[in-house]
Amino acid sequence: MEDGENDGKTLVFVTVGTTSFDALVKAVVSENVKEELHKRGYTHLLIQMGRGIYSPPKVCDGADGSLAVDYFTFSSSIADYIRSASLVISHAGSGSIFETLKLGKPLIVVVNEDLMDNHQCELAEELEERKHLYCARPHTLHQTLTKMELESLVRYAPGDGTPVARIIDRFLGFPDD
Amino acid sequence: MCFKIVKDGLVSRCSFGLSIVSPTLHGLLVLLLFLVLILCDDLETCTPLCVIAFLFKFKLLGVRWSSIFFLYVENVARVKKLSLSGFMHYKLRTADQLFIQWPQLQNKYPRAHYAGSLM
Repeated sequence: MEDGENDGKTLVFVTVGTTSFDALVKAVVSENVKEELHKRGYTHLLIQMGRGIYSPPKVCDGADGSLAVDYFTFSSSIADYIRSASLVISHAGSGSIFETLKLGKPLIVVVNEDLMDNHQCELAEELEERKHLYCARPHTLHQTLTKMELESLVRYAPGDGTPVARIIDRFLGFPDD
Repeated sequence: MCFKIVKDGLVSRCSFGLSIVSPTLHGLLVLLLFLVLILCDDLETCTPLCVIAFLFKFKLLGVRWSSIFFLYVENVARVKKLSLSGFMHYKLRTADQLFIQWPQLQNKYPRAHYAGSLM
């Protein structure tokens, strides 16, 4: 893959946004998930853990060919991390989802089952149906990784605010052109 | 002319009184009188402002205070059903236009406008 490879480094970026999503962090650093990512050619795993309590063990450039793991809590902008990644695993927040889709990166959305009013999974499932991303739960992440085919994902075309803007213009009395 | 004087008189007395009682309410009143358009998303904090704006559109104390155009844009994460704020504005018809970002909602809420995804 062309994009995402910097100095032979293939990065998987995991983000939980501003939430606390320990289940995802734990799932991502579990042995079978790391092994699957390694099998698919990823070399580095970077986790943005937000308000989570669980800190995964850091692993410097894997000696025996295992995945290098690093993490941080927050950053003012994750766009650069997304841009340098080959795969993004994200929580189901609409901001994180659309930021990744607009940058054209393969995305796996993991829905947090501990959340109360979980309307977020509606968005993730709808976008999965339209083949823009893969959707999973923390305990099914490994399964999704084994079965995914990133080439089959369809690039998301960003939305357009022009129809709404036109209605506002019309009300304010601006001519229609 | 007379109408304007009455309105201004009422406004200045209202304004003065409110600014002593609550600077926030005073600011809100001034804002609503000069406001032309409210464009709102699914945020609980917006709802009181929107409801007050809706009331202001009608005649209060015999005076038509303002004609605010209130546009509500439903959250892009709402695919199968409206949020609580959206549902309230839809049912009570407080919003002039209610936009949805997914076509599935159009069947359930025919009066809403589908203008495509904004994201």
